[in-house]
Amino acid sequence: MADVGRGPLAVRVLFFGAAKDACGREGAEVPWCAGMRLGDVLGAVAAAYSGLGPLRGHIRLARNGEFASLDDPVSAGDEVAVIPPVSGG
Amino acid sequence: MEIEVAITEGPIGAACACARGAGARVEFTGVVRGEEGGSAISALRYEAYRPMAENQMRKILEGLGREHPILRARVIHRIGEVPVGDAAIHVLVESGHRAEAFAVAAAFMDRLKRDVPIWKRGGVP
Repeated sequence: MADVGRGPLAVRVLFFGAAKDACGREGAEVPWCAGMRLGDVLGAVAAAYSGLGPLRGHIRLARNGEFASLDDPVSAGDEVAVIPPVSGG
Repeated sequence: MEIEVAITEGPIGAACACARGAGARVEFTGVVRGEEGGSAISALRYEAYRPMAENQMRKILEGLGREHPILRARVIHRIGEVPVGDAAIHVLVESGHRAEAFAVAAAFMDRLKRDVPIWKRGGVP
């Protein structure tokens, strides 16, 4: 799936590190709908990119540059980042 | 307290003059070693989620600055290909006395390796 579905109301998802390798791409877009939460976004990309499956227990999500939890609400136009274990320094 | 954080793609520059009143300066430099995963390398690649990484580094230093009375902290992390022997990260902390500077420098590195979205992306042969 090149994109989950491009539309005016979408959430932009960025993949980094091992997540980028697993998905084979730097990002995707998920159609937004009222009441959407971060967990729904993760579910949508995990369904679209099965390679994420093994990583699910190790990744964190960020929403607009801040770590966030799965039950946090998501707005159209938000930027969600899939963050595997970091290794800077 | 003065805080400077940056992510750069070029070589990390030398530190500058001490802050007024600083009796201690602790500097940590993380240097790329010649091997990664048991194989010899010529460079190491780093990737960052840049805006969040800079924001997280700043927030970590602000938090540590509330716990320890430091005067100044500067962190620069390099991304892209970092040649063996070059600095990937440089942490500088200045305070009135050494204890705070050592404490903040060490604590920052622990937090960096947990909460700052920067990744090693493999060695360059």
